[in-house]
Amino acid sequence: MSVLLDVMYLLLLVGATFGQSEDPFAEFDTDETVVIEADDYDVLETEIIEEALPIPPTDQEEEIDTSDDVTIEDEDFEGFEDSEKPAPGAKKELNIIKGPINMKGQWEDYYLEIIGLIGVFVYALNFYTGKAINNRLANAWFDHHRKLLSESFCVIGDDGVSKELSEGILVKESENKFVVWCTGRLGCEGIKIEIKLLRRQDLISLISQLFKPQSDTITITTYLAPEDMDSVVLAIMPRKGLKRLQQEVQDLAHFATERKIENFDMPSTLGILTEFSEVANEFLTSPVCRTISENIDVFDSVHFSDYYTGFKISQEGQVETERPKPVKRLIFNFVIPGHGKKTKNSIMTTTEPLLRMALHMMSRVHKFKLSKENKIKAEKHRIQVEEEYLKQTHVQRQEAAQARRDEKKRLEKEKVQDLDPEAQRRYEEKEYKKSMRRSGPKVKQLKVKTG
Amino acid sequence: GADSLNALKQWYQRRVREFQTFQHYFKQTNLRMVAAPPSNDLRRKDRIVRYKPYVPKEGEDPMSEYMNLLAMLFSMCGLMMRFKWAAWAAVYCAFIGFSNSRSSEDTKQIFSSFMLSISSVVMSYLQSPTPMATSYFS
Repeated sequence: MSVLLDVMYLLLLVGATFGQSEDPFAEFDTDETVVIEADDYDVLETEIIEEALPIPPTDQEEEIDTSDDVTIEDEDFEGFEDSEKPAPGAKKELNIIKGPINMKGQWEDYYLEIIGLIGVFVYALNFYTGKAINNRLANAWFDHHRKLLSESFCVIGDDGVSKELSEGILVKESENKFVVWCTGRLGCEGIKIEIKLLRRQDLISLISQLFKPQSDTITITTYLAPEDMDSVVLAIMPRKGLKRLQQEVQDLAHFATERKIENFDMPSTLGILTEFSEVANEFLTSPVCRTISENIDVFDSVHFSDYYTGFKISQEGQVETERPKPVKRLIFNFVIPGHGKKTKNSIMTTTEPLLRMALHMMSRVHKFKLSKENKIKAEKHRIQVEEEYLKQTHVQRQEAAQARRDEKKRLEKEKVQDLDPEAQRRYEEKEYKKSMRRSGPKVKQLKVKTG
Repeated sequence: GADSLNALKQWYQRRVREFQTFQHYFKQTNLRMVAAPPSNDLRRKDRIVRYKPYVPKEGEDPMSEYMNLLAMLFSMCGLMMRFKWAAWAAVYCAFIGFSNSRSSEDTKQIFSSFMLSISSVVMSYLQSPTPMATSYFS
């Protein structure tokens, strides 16, 4: 019995140091009486058990919380008269040996942790390889198209943040988005080439790519000054998304109508939206159509607009309250074929003919002038759309102006409260005069020259 | 007849002399007649505009922010309620948030969520080194 008590004390100590959530006595929760042999616990030394006597807890140096213990009364120890008196010399200090609770068969039980660790390593590995692939692809695109771009622009690859004009820098917006800014050309302010690659650095995105394949895209946005382009609205895009896009993009919705693709020598998977057929005829010349047809797997869409406001902010049933200021843009969208599976550098060269075509179209846009009648029609139409927009937002703008006026009055009143009464009186007089002037009859003042 | 011919000759000779002095003058001043740039070169130095770095509007691509938030939530939950699986989930979320982040974003926040999740895993295991399998599946 003494051995049992000692062992129980030991286990209590061990449980106290390693946390209370796990029940250190779980293995004792059996109905049958368990005989504990010293061999089961290889770390327990038999000498200590023999020498350690049942001393009351307060004599031991370990911190056992005795407040919960049952008070040991003399009746409990009826059979222990001999062993109750501790022999003076035999009182030994109990060594705490870090007896592990249940360390048998250790590593197999940690399989969940090992799986977790392996998962983290796999993710980190994928991060670095994906990042390296994306960087390589973006640099390959930049290097290959650099010559063509340098023939058309003075400055390629400005990063926008350095004090002096920089050149040749591929700006990294994120691990899968890169930007090249080219400027210094007649007919435009500059072009922004966005290389949007797949998120190869994120394992989750790679897995979702299996279910919903996407592609690397190259988007070329030409920023135009107002004098660079006449009123041109033209869009060529895959027929599938045409209707939806026509509703979402405002300028196409207001100005453009669909034209027959058969008039032009282009594949029927594409659709054309334009304001005037003169515009379509002017830009979709046979070399352009031929280039698009030959590179149809790389071509995605083209959008020329002098009234570009971006995509409609979709709110449920509400009219657009705010809209960015319309600007003149040319947007070319190209797609790297292969849905991201091909990662050789050579795949990035497939956009070269289309880039050439884009530059050619940019210079044509600059030279193009609408016919007089179409120009007048376009002007009228735009004024109409602008007025409609103003009317729709009129109510909101009025409310906003009213709110601003109230706010200003409130602030002034607060300021006036702080001043002394003399200043307050003067201020009130001023306000009274102002209101009289506003509401009083408007008197025409005649200046009479005397002399 | 002959007079008019003489007058013409004199006029011609005067023009030639003028041209010769003109040529001489040119050679003197070392001016070179440079041909105009070919008409198909559209590069213009006076139309250089600096790039304005793109500032992403709010709400675009919220994945990174959500993942950071989740990582912090999971690590707190795992630390306080002693859920080991929450601490592991926090590490994963922090990593996913990091890989989806933009370069322009504040790296301190992402780094802090990373450190927080790793510390929550370490603390959970220091306090109770039993494996997850026995705690939850026994």
